[in-house]
Amino acid sequence: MANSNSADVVVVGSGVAGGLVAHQMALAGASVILLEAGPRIPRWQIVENFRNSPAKSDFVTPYPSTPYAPHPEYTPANNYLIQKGDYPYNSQYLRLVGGTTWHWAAAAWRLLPSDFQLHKLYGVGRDWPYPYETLKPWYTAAEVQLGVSGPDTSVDLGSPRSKPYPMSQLPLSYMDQRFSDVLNAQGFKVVPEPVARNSRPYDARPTCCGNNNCMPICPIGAMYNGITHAEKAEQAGAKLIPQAVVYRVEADNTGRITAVHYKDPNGNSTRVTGKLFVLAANGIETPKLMLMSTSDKFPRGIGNSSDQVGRNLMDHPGTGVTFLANEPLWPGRGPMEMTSVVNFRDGAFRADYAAKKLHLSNGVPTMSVTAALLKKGLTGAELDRQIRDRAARTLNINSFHEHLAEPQNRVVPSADHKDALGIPQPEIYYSIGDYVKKSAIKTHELYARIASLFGGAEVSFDDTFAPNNHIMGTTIMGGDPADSVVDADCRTHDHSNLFIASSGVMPTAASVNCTLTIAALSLKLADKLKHEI
Amino acid sequence: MTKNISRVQPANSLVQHARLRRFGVAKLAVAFALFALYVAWHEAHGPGAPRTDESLITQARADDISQLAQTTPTPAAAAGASDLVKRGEYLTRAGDCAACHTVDKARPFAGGLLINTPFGTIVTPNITPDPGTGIGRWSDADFLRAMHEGIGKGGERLYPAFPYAEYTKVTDRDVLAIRAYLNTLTPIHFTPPPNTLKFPFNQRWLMVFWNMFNFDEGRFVPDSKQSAEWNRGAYLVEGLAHCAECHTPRNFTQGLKASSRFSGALQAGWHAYNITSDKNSGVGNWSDNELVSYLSTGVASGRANAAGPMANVVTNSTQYLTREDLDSIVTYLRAVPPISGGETRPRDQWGNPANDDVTALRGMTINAVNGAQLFIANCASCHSWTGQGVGASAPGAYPSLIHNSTVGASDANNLTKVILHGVNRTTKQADVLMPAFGAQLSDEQVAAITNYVTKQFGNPQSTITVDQVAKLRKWPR
Amino acid sequence: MTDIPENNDAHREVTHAAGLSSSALFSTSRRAWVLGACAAAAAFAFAGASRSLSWIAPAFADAPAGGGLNAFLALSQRLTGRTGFDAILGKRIYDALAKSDSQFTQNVGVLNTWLKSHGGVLSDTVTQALQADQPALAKSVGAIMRAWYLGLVGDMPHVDVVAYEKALMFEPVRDVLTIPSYCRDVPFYWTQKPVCA
Repeated sequence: MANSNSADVVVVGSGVAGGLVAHQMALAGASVILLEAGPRIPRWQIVENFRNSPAKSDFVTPYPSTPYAPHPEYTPANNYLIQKGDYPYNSQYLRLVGGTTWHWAAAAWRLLPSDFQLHKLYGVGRDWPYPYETLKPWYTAAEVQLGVSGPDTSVDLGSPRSKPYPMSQLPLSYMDQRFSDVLNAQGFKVVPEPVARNSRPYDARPTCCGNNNCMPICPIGAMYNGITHAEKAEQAGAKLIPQAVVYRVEADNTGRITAVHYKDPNGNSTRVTGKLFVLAANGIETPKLMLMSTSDKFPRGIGNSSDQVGRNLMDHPGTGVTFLANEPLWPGRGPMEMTSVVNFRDGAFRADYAAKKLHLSNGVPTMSVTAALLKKGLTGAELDRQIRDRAARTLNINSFHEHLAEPQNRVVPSADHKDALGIPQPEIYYSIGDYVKKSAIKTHELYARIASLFGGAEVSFDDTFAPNNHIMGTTIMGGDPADSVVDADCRTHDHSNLFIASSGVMPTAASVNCTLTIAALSLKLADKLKHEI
Repeated sequence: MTKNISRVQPANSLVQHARLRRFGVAKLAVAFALFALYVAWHEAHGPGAPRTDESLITQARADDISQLAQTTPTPAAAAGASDLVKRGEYLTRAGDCAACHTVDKARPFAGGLLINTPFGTIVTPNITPDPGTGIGRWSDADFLRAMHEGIGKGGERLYPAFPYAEYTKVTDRDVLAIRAYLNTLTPIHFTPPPNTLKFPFNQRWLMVFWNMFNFDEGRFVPDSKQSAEWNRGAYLVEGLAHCAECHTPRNFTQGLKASSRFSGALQAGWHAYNITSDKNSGVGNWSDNELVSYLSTGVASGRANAAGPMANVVTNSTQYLTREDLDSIVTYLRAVPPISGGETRPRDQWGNPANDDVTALRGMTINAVNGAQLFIANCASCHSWTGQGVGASAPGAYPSLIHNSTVGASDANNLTKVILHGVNRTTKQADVLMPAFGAQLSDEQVAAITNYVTKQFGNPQSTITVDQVAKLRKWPR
Repeated sequence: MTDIPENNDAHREVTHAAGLSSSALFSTSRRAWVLGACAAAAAFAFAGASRSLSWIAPAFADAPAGGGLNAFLALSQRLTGRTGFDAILGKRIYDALAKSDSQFTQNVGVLNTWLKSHGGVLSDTVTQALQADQPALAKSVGAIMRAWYLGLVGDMPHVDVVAYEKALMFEPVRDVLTIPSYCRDVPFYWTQKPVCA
């Protein structure tokens, strides 16, 4: 059992990455301190916050930002992220015990083998320092830890497997079945999405009942949230300290990390020492912390001899389409997302433009449909009739485009914008290049084709690139210490006892949600740490 | 029960507080006096109560028991043995042996369950055929003696946490079928931890006195005045299924109170309800089909849902019983004389839907602990803010809290336990899991939800205090 | 897995055969009829189900003068095409609207009068008709509709949530779609084609 100021392993951040590492290390008998900047909020409170939210379509509103550990808010905007680039990086993330997977659609994809060799195969972007095969067993372990349900072996998702998914897939909604049938007959490849959502009782959590609220909060815990492993870590003996905002990483002159310093909400500072340190505070707060931690010995910040900390910021820029199908399909029955179009995830075209994944929304459209009709001034029986007609037929498809690691896209601590504790806010330089734009033009054509397959009326394209909150690249992994931050073990090149558990280490973004990869990397890292204790 | 468990720890038990030791001596004196009485009684009545092994009640066809006389722990691969083994498996389930002997699904029947009693903790033994740590070296005679007389292989007295007071009624044939089945299990080398009973209760021979008060050795005797169905039901309920162990209150020796049989009792914080035919306090107002449905699926739709230990009984035992056996059990339970607990209406006849709380609460900031708000936040996703449940009578439905036998009970124990520990019940129809809320809610919050639920959907007189919640939380689920 | 009833196969074949443009083959009028019929059935089924003891249904013909609660409820009936409301919700909405706009109670009375004098104007077209000559009243109509349907009163950043579960938007689809964060049936119910689809 750790005391409050010193432990074998000190983990910064209690989301899915930090929670998994802390849990594994506590199980292995190490003393563990898990520091979380944000507060602890019980699930029931988040559920009520949602129901009482005046802006329910903004999934951050049930998680109020705090003055001492702010996170980006958009309704209304709190301007926490200082935007300096060509394109706003309006990412969402949460700072509370359990982290950002409190709200997600639970998509639990593995990368494709080709995603690990983007440069080698297509001459663009970077390569991982190891092949898919190296991460494969950790993907399996991550699927067991999170509880993933997915299709059986008759569906090839492109990522070789050694074991079946821990749970069979959730049966598709009528709409998703119909969507799959129509598109697959036209040469698309629509597959059931693997999800960290229970198709049967698993890990003391219940079966999904389709209450259609994965985002912003699963009220019943049928979907995996990072809180699961934050709590498991505590039960295994880790000491979790909420409201502990780490603002400095301290290194001695040999480069060994000796301590981290955190502030409580009143600004009182505490120094926490340890043997091994793991930063797991997401792809924006982690590099910001490293860059803030300057000293005479490390004037460019911790782990930054390569000048790559904070650079190579990626996301999955998304475009979308909404249309009325010519038949009632009734989106909104079951969980919020069930199928994806995957035949554009790989191909020779990646030398030229971005890979992508398309996914059909299965969110209940009642609220958005009603709001739009009210804006038009509808009243009376006609309003009810149209709510029903449009709710039955409104289809919405979105996409993730693969972003390349480019050093000019970066996060730095703001020199002039500080939060209530005087800690710099993140300042972001972001742009979207032709690699993505070229692909998005083709995505638009695909949308038009899909809409026509359903006799789509009122087809409305959204071609502005939406953020998908997959923050990658900012503590990039690589074999060469001169142009990367961590090595293949996620150990910083500059500090032998400092590790990073985050999507920030991903050298390629690929075209799928990164949470399962975060979990796999974290479990792989924990296994490494067990040998260092 | 097995040798490893029978070893007591004199070193531990003798290191007692002086006051406790004096108390123990006094108890021993009483014990010896009782022993003298027992010897006298035993002389008068002679050994061996009447045996009625070959009664007509067992439906299964005759098996060649002699074939199983060999007790080597080899799997019964022989074709002739398979029917016997199948019947043994059925009977092992009817007796719910797994309830106490399977703690970890990875170690079926290897024991290790900690049973808390007022006298200390008893740990269940390994009954797999492992020769070193299980019952592989037991002869059939040893096994029969344990089941019928409560005596282990080494002649040691078994503690009555093992329900030999009921198993004594089971025919030799059925006991040996169980034995045949247990012999086919994978031997698991596992020694459960030792018992931790306080002196003098760690003295097994003292069970002689317990037996004097609470144990009638002897096989089931059919009542020729009753139907075959009644007799079959009685044989199961009073014997293998050992229903009385939970559903009957206990006397000061922890034996069953004969006068209050099946009138309900508290067991590890759970209320095992009155199952007599009383219309208000028992199950007298349930239909036959509802009782059968409850035992076979855990659900009597619109009335009751099995949780806690009873959910385990359904999962491990009663769902596997044949329709004939279930009908027989119901026939017998119907004939159990009604015993009233003073209830004025049946447990499942309380409650009204909540319509207005959810309206009034929207947009309100509430800082105090508020039962209605906590109910809507934690429970209403599945049970609806009205409390009427979701999914009606479909398998896996989220039960209505109105007209619900747990919510309408005259104490709120089981409701509180369900909120704290959740529900696990796996049947052929549905894999039911209600999450445990104990880790997320304080005692004060659990009490607030419980009291809101009983007031709105159940018996408004059933309330629970914060202290009671704290106590119920401590019991293992 | 997904159990698609027989009668849907015809649609599917049509879609496949027609390739990119199947819309012409699907009868729009038939669809409208089916949806309308289902909506009517749903409204009938759920109007009863959601009714509590506190259900109130003042008749519009008796709309009281002035801008009190009963006048508001009578007006709301006219605007929503409904015959009755949850009394507690009605009072909450009325209080919130009155608080958010000092002209509100006055506008209620004026609107009732206006509607009486425009007896021929159907509730479907009230806003359109008002927008032309009385934009302030049209705004009040919008606020009333938003309160009943979305459960929201006021403008950002001071929006009050007066209803969620009982917001009227959920009623027209109540037999098919859930109110997000609430289960509407047992797991996997969603594999079935909705009866009205």
